[in-house]
Amino acid sequence: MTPDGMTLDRFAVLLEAYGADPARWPDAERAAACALLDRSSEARARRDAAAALDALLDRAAAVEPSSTLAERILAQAPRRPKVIRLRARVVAAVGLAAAASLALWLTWRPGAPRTLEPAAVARLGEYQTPTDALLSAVDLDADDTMPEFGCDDPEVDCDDSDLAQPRPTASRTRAHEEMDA
Amino acid sequence: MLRVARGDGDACRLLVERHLARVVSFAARVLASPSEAEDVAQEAFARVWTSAASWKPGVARFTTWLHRVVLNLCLDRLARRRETPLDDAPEPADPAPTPAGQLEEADVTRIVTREIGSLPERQRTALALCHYQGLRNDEAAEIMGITVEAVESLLARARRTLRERLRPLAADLLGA
Repeated sequence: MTPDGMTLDRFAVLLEAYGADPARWPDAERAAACALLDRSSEARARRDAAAALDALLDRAAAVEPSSTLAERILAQAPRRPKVIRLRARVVAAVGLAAAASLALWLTWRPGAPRTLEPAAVARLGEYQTPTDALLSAVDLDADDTMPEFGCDDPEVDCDDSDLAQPRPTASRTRAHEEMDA
Repeated sequence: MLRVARGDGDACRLLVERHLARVVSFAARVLASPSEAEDVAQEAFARVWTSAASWKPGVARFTTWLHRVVLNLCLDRLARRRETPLDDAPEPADPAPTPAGQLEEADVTRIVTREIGSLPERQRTALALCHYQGLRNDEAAEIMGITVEAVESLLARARRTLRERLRPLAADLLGA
């Protein structure tokens, strides 16, 4: 027996069962059997005898499938379900619609803005905002409600240069005057 | 198999292209009848199509599973064949030996095929799986539902029988 456990008897059993081709030997014993083959002339003689039988076995007729068999088998194969095919068509239709929309968006250009004749502009009259209309009803001008910048109250000793202070609103200024009074 | 279950035609065709020749070859050797092998192949792939939806990846190798399906179909046919009255059974091949030195290539093929076909059913199956299909001994054991040691024993008996029966042929062809 060799250190790897392969004996000539076991080697003979391998040949008897699996033949001379190491590819057919069991994975776990292949390396040990090949090692024995390298160092034993008797192992090689037995291997050659087994190879002669292998050569005969390889002459057995190989049966090839007929040319129509594959198609007959495939005719029985499962088909894609109809619901999936319908879904595929819907997906294709949505894709086509999206592509058409994109193409339209890329190619469409709006026309130049229309210009009005002077006579048409005159018919439109002066533009008045809603704020203008509300203030004119109480005889106020929006510009008049804005206070002057700076401070003119001598009692609080304002520094005219302190313009970074928050600007008082119109209502704050009015309340201030009432308190002062 | 998942793609086959979804009805993917390309996956079905790929599966047939990869396995059909081996399936037919295996069935022909187990049945010792090429004419029945195509029927078995068709039945085996019908099982593939119906089993695809319930296929669980990782549970079994597809090749091992397919061989087991084919073997079971072959064994069913062999059992029915045994039940066939002798009058209806096909004529056995002519066992008359061909004189040595006059063998053509076709004769060698015919004789070797005939001798393999005359082996006992289980020896023939083990030889077909390990020698001709190139499967490992543990795969053959799983397909046949026996131990690895039993596979090894069947193979050894098959080869011993064939060596004896083919000895004149080997002497003529190989000078052995």
